Amino acid sequence: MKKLGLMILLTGIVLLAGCAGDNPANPGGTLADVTGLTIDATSAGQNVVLTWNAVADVDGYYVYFRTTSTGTWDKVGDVTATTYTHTATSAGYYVVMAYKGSDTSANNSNEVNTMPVDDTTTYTIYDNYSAADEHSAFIFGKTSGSGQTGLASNTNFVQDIYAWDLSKGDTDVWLLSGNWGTYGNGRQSYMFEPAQAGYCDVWTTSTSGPSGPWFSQSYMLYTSDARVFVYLYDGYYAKIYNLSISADPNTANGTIVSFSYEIQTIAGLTLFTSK
Amino acid sequence: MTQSYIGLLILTVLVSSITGMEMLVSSSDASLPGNLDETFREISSLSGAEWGLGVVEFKTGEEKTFETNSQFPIEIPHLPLTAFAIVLSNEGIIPLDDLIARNEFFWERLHWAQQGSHGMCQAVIWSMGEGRINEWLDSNGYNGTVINGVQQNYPECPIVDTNYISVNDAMAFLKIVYGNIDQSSVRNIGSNPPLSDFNRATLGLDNVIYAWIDITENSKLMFLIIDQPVDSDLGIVVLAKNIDDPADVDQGFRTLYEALTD
Repeated sequence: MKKLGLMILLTGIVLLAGCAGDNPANPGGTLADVTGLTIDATSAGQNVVLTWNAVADVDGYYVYFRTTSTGTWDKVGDVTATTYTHTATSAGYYVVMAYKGSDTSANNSNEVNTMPVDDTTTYTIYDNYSAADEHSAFIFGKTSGSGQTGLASNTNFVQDIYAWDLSKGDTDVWLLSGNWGTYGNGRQSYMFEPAQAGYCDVWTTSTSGPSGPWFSQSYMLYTSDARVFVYLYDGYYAKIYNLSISADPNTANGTIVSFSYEIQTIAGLTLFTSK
Repeated sequence: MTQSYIGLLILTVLVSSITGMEMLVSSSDASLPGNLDETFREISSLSGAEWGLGVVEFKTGEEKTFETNSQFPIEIPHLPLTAFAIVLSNEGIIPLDDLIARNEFFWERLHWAQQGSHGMCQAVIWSMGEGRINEWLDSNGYNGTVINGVQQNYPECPIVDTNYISVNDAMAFLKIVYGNIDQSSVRNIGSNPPLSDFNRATLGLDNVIYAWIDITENSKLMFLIIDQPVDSDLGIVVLAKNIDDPADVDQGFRTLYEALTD
């Protein structure tokens, strides 16, 4: 008798787990689908503001998030309003579904995401103690493969950052804001030391740039550094990753900096992948 | 009301009198030697160099100078920049204790400049802004000082025009530094100066030294604050150009220091 009761209980749990609303990839309910899911322009830093169109006669909405396009959805919100702010620790994807009691939308809403452009190209720049014709400056592009290196000494190359050695060591190198220093004909960038890969927890919506631990002039790199966050002149955040600092074998005190980068396509958001 | 003013006036006169008496006593205790002019002439005859010399006793304000307004080339203008940095810091514009960059305090960059880093000194100029530096020099009458930048030595680096400093200005800069020596960041900037062994031997171990040294192929400039255990702190400026050997300048400094302390 006890065994029968246990079996019924387990069957009930399995049925509940499989019922509509618990699989956002295929909700299968009877309610109307949520439409018009968008990431609002007021999103900033880690705060992703989602909005969508109302569905009539529902109890509320579930908000789901995942960090990769094929990962498992996590329910991050359960709200009655048609907006939700997710404080994320990584870039990712969102869908929303309506619910009423145990019934849900038939399908997910449209999917939106905060994924940065990932430019996996390995870019290489050299500091001022390397040969003068080696590229020292860099411009972040907003589509994959559109980053550029150039000569900071070339006033036609309007760089975001450039490599510079303030102390003449073999592997000593600073990243300078494009508008600072001897070749400061470029654009203002701010740099920040990441505590983690996926997000920066200090940000600003000010056009004058972030303050505090964001550095507006220069940023010393250590050979152990893997990443640097960069706040660009136009309000977009980028993340340098796969960072490598090494002595330039061709010069006495030159230093080589190589890296790839991610750049957020939503101005003001500081969310990136785990790279 | 009138009586209050009169009372205040009397009090002010009394305080001034007392302060003046103290100054007089202190001056008497720590006055500069009377034969300094002779010492200056002796030093200026050393080698074929051109000399600029200055001494100030900070507590009394008594000072003596030689070739006060002549300009001497200075490769790394760390002393004037330090003085201006203190002014900027005191005005809250760029506090010396600010993290000017990742893990780098503003005072730290000035200390690296004091240690002889061309790159760091140039970075200090960038942070301050050349225009603001020149405005400060002009508005305070520091006409003997010219700051054009710091010549770097990386491949194909731009040529920077020569910087200059005079005894008169250097004395003023030292006074600014000394006037703020109670700030730990100011002491940090000037501490552990890159003195030659000869100069360390000259100064001995009893004094706390804050100093800025600039050496080029044919010049050597020395700016020192000597915090002595006795109630007398000295500022010394020794400028020499067209020198054959920096050791001649060290000898000149020893001659001056011994005249001041013997």
